[in-house]
Amino acid sequence: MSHARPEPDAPFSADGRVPSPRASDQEHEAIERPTGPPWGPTRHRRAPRLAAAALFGLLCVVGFVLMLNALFGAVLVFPGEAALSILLLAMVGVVGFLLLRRIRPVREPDLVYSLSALIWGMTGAVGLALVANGHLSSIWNKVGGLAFGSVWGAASTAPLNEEPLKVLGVVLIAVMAPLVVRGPIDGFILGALVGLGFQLVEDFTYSLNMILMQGGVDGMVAVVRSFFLRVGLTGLGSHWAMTAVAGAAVGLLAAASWRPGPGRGTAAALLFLLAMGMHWLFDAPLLGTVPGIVLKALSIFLTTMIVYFLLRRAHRSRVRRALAREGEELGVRRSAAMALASRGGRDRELARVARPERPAVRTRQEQMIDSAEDRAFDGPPRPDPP
Amino acid sequence: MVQESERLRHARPPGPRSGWFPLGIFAVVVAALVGGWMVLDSALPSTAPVAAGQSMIVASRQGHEAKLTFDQDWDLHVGSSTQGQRYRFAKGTADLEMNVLTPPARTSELELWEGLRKVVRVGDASANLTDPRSVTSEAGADGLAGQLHSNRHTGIAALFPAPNGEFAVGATATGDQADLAEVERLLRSIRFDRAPEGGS
Repeated sequence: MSHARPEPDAPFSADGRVPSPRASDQEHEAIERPTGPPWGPTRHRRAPRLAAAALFGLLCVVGFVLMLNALFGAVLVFPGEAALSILLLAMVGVVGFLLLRRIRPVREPDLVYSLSALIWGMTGAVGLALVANGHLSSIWNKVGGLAFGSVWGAASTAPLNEEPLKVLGVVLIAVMAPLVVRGPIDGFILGALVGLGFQLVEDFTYSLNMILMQGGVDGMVAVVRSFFLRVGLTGLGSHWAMTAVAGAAVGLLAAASWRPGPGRGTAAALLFLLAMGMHWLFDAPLLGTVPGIVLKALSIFLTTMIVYFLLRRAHRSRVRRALAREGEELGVRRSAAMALASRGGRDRELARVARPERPAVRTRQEQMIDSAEDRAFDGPPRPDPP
Repeated sequence: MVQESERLRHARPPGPRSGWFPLGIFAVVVAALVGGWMVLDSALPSTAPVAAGQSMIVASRQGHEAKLTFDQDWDLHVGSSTQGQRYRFAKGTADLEMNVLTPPARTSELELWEGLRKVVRVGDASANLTDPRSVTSEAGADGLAGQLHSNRHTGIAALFPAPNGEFAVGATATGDQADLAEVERLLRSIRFDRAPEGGS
């Protein structure tokens, strides 16, 4: 950073050449661009994308209808309580959405697909999980007896059903827009957003259930109590964290074009099992006291953070290497090119430019980042440049 | 560069099936988790008989437990019941749903009944409860009972708060009059006992 050029407003290459131009809607064009080597005519790749988009839309609608069917009666009877719960959870949702997008290294993920991930979590995943959980819980009761099903049912049902159903949203997005899921960090962020959406609807459901469990008395208190338990006490180590880890597994597979080698395949399987294991711990009837529940949530949060920082470091290293190569090709100083890997670095570079030039320089920075992130997953990891 | 391209070509086998593969996995997982569990669930018997003369603990909180004593021909809907929280029983045409409620401290019986009026409307917007009358079970548990009316059903409702005020048992049932009489008989068997040492 300290070696950044004093005059970064000069052309990014020695001959005044800029990276390959993009249309004005850069992000969406980037998403539509084919990845990696040419695999055949575009129309062959378009069909699964369209199928994924159709499935995504259809299942979100189906999930929304199923969710509405499950919750509508309680919302009609307790409208004030439902409105309070929605208001409280909407605030959590907005903060969570902004925060989770912000923690993606290098730059924020595409807004449209971030919202798609959230919506999948709130509708498709919830609707399918309602059906799947209902039947699997019933199976545990019937096979293992009511005592077993009541104690271990949640821990034996939710990880098996909910983790796959949530993370399938990331799979659909990866098929719809391959460049949105370039690697595990993208899977992590989108998975976290899916989990956040799921968590919000689940918290809403719990708040309504708590009113019913209290016998329909003091509904507002029940909503606030539920909010404190589900958000304040366990929110840090809930669905967003579990599905972030599961999403990283999908990101690993997507980065290998769904044909991972043994190493990557094993890593993806372990990440997915870790997500399921965290979910099991969350729902297991162990450490049932308040300190125990907090301990479980914190351990899930810390595990997720370890995964995040490992992925973040790997992603930034790849992008920095790609930027260094990009810089070499464009005649940009290596240190200046690598500084673009962070938001702060880009802002510092931009601050050195005269104000009227900044939009153009910002555009060039974005182009270099686009290109570098495209290249970052084109090969196996190599050591960081000095 | 050429070598790099060759390496990548071998590392990522080309083919338009690339996008279909994850979609295939998607379809299999959704079918297994939604359709598979559904088929397996429906293949298993949905009810289990409750032995005649059996006393079942339906709730246990803060040193007190609530028990029901069943006579002949009662079945438990195992799949849709949760021990200590929610039970669905059936006898003939009668369908009895019993919920263990944990109301806020110092909630009166009448407040709980008003709450139950709302709760029954969650499942059926046309459902309504008549004003309650006081009832006492054979074992001396005091509670409230009334009629349940909706566009689809008629039935009964009952509410028995635990003596320690920590929980209450709420019940609603629909069915033919003869079978509803059996439900009333079952509800009259409710008793609250102190839980044995170590009980929650």
